[in-house]
Amino acid sequence: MRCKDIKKELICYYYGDINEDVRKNLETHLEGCPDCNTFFKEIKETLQTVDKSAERQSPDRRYVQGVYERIEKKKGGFPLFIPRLVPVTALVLLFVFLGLSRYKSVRREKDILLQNYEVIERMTMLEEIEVLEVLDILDAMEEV
Amino acid sequence: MDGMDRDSNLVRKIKNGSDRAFRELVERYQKTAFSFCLHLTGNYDDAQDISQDAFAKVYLKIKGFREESLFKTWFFKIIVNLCRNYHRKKRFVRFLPLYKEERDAEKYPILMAKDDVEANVINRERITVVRNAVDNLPSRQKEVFVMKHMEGLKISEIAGVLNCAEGTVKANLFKAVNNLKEGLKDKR
Repeated sequence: MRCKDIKKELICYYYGDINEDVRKNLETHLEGCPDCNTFFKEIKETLQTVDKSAERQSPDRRYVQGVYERIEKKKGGFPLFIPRLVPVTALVLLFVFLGLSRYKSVRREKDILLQNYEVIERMTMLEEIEVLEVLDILDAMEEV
Repeated sequence: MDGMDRDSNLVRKIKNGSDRAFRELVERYQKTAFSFCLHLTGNYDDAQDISQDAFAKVYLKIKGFREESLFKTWFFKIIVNLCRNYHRKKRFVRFLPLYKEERDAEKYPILMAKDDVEANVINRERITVVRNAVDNLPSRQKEVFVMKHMEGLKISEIAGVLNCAEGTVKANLFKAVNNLKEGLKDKR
């Protein structure tokens, strides 16, 4: 084993999470390798520093009750489904809104046409009369 | 009965609908779950929320747990996934204009005796330095380190939780310890 591999195993050795054969190999290596020995001392000191500062904190006294409240909430389905439905619902609403506004504008155009049907008809008639009048004038001019 | 047998016994009872067994399981793992989340999030309230969510998930999904792995491994897998989701959400929320970071001393209090003020101040400083050093580890290294050092999981168990090879766990642990060694050089 190279020193690099030994160093990786040394951390597991520190935690005692290592099999017997590897442990014996490491101990033999440590006896003859000052570099790995120094490294082991350093990591030991580092991990002990972390140990001294690690305090296990307790959760709230209502913790267990909180777990049951969450279960009830999730069982109700509401919080589970809502987040997934949000984008889908938004898309559906957008399409419905776009469809409705398009339908409304087409319908409005139709209504305007229907409401002003007579006026438009008359306008067309008037236009035709004007054209006829012009034609009459032209005819008269030709005759002259 | 050892811890693992006790776990699988409780799991079987919960699958059969025993509420008492579930309560026992929560009481058994609440400190572990909470402190693991606290190390990964750095926020007291969020750690409580995530760990409670994890238990709720256990309750609702336990019938799908086929017991091919240990309960502990399955449970840690749930917590790690919830914490990763939390960080993903937080990364997104951080861009919102009204977001305020709540990783402060009040949210993550340091508990200690009140009799020796000077010792407490030094202790508090040391704890803060160590906590910052652990906090600053890249996320995968932090997950591995907290599971190994704080929660005492075996390398094989961590590999099971993270769904990776034991060699990858060892490599991450090695990098984490080296980073901590550098970060705490003058503080030892």
